Amino acid sequence: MTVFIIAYLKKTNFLKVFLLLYFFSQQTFAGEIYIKDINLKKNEKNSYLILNHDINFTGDALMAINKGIPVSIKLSLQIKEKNKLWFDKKLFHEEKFYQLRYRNLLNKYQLNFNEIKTIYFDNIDDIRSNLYNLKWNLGELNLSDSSEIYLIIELDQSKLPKPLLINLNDESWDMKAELVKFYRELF
Amino acid sequence: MRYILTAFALIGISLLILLGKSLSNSDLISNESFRALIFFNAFFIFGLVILIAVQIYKLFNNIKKEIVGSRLTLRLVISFTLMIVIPVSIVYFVSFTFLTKSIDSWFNVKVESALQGGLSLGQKTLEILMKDIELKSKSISYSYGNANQDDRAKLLFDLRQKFGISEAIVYDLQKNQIIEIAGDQFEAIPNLPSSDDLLKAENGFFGKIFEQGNSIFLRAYVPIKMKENISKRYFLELTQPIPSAISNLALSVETVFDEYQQLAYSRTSLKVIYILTLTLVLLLAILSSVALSFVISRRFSSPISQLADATRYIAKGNFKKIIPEHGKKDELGLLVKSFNSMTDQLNKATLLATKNRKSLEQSKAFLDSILTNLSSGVIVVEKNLEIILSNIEAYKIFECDSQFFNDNLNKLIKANKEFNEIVLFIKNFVNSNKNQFIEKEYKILFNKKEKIIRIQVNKIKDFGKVLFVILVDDITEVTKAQRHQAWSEVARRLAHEIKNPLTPIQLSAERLQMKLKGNLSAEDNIILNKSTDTIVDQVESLKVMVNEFADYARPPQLKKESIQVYDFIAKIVDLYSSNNIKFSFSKFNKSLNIDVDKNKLRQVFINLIENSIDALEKIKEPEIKIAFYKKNNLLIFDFIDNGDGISEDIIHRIYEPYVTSKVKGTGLGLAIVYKIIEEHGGDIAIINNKPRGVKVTLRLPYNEE
Repeated sequence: MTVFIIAYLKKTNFLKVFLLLYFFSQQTFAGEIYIKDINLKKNEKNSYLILNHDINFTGDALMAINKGIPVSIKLSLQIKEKNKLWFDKKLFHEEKFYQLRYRNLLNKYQLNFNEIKTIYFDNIDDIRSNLYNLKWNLGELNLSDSSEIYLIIELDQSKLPKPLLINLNDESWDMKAELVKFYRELF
Repeated sequence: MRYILTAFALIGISLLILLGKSLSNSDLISNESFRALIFFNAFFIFGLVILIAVQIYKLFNNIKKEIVGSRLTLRLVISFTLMIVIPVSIVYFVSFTFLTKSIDSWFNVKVESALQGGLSLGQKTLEILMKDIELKSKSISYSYGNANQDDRAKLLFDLRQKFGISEAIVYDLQKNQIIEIAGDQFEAIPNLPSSDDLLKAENGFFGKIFEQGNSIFLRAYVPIKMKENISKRYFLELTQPIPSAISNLALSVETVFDEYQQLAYSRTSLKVIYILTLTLVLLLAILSSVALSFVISRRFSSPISQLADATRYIAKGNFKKIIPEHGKKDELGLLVKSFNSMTDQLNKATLLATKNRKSLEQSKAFLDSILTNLSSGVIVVEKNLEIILSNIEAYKIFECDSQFFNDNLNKLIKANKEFNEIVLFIKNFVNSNKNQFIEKEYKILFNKKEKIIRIQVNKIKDFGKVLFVILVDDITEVTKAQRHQAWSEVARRLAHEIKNPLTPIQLSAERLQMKLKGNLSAEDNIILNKSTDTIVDQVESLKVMVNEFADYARPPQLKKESIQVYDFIAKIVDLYSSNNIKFSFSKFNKSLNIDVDKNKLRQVFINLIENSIDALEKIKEPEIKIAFYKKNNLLIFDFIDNGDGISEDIIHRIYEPYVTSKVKGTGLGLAIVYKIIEEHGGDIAIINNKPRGVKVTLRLPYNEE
């Protein structure tokens, strides 16, 4: 009896779908984001955060990019004033995005910063080499030794198409890097 | 629970709508919350399963407790569930197959080739345009380099216009500055080209394509060799927008190709998401419907359960059970309304019936009370002499048990044959079809006692049924009293009429004897004395008789006083001590006292003793036994002699005047005794004693105080 049931189930697409799901869920391709370093520079008025990071797409994520699926990277910066007796004081909070996309028509990789500046590259490694010295204007900030800088760079999964979103079992999509540094460490 | 289920169903429907909207890429649900929505749906389904499980558990618990309507609810729930599950499952499996096949059909080789072809066409077009701009740029570069220095600006402008170039810029790389610029419009000074781009252009040409706004631009870099100084490094930059028609088409093709690639990449995920959504929709639909079916089933079964419940109450006789109507206007509402109306009518009818029954019972009790307290016996019989009603007095008169009066009058004959004549009389009337009533008196000798019974039979009709009402009266005592009254009247008249002339007669006879004494011859003198003595003796006898009559006829006037019974009787017995009769006492208590008229009671005892003495004249060992004792509230006296007894012919009427078994005597002795005892509120019984003699029993009321 069990043999017949299994034979019947094998014929159905439903079972195949779940077998595929199970198969893909077992695959692990680790994608990574590295924050190489951050520096703080000040001119007369404003402070600037200079960010160097690298991004390495692997597995499904790389495959998806090469198919033309746009991938967004979210950069979230928070600066807090540490307080031992009370909640930390939030001095600065801003998010920035850049989008990576392969343009099939142009045969180029397109890097778009905040939907303002667009740069084209022949291959994805050229993009990685361009992710240096990203300048983040912090405005007029009075930072002290107790100021803490909290930076997160991650692949924004919420911007992915719905079908992908429901089936993100591949670890290559889990790309996140965090960095916490005190103000004094940035010099 | 109804509200919880309704809330669950509403949430389920909302989730279904959201899921459907999100699938159609609506902006309502963002990508971020889509996943959460899927999980929330799954969680909600789990909640629904728990809720349904709880409902099923409760339902089976109710069935186990035999709560009315729970089985009907279960049947309705099963019916609703089957009605939902079967069609929805069919739709699900059809949709499942259709969905998987549809998704597979999107990704066939032809579509992909066509899209690839379109994209390649766009790419080729851009290559051609790039080739074109390369040629143009090289031509302009050559012409510009070989022209006179003063004519170069005009030449650049003319060539730009001639070749339809939108922007033309000449850079001096050594000075790192723009030396010539020509274009349709410049909003700002253009930036210097990147060193990478110029480096690539060193070999003769470098072109790049870029998108700005919704347009595609071609940009070409070529070195310029100036005729005056070949070593100097100049570069020409040309920018040319692709015609919008081509640009739009190429971008559209690219967009579709990208979307196709996305879909192709997400093929498996798409299947999963659609099947998952379909499954969630199915589960939500089925489970929400099943959950709702509990509410609907309860709503359906509730009035029926209440009806069943109320029916049980009514079966137990409780007609006050009212089912809430809730203002429903459907058939169930009508049924409930009709049921309540019926219950109300039943209640009213029952109350009326109870009232009538009570009234009937009261009437019956009243009738029973009347019949019980009636001195006459009443028997109601049907035509076949079946007794349907009787009272106590009736079976007292007929001297039989009450059981005979629950049956047939004929059985009375079997019980007591003495009443045969009466039953025959009734029977004859019943069978005669006569309408008038009849009446007759019967003298019955029952247990050696004479009973005078008067029978009256009436024919009545009760709701068309012929019944016979028999009135039975025991008039023995009445007749006796009437007879005594008549005798008293006779005795009084006799005493009055005879007593008066007796004394003159006696005196005249004595005077006649005295006057003629000595004047007559001896022979005549003897005759005279004999005659006058006879007259005097007879007058004396008449006087005695008249006195007795006077005693019998005198009005009842008692002078009661307390006497000690033993002493009283002993003194009377002493009067007869000279006789050779043996008097013996038994069962007596010397200390007993009683309130009586002692003169009259003495007369009673003397009469009784003298009667016994007369009866014992020829008896060898005459004996009179006297006993007196207390029993209940009576003082009972027994006088027993051992004489010959009284003839059975007269014993039942021995108390009547002039009824006597003695040769001598007026026959008034026992009549006087009867009268005195009756005046004292007592009674007398005279029976022949076994083995011989007469036993006279007197019973007088006795008060302890």
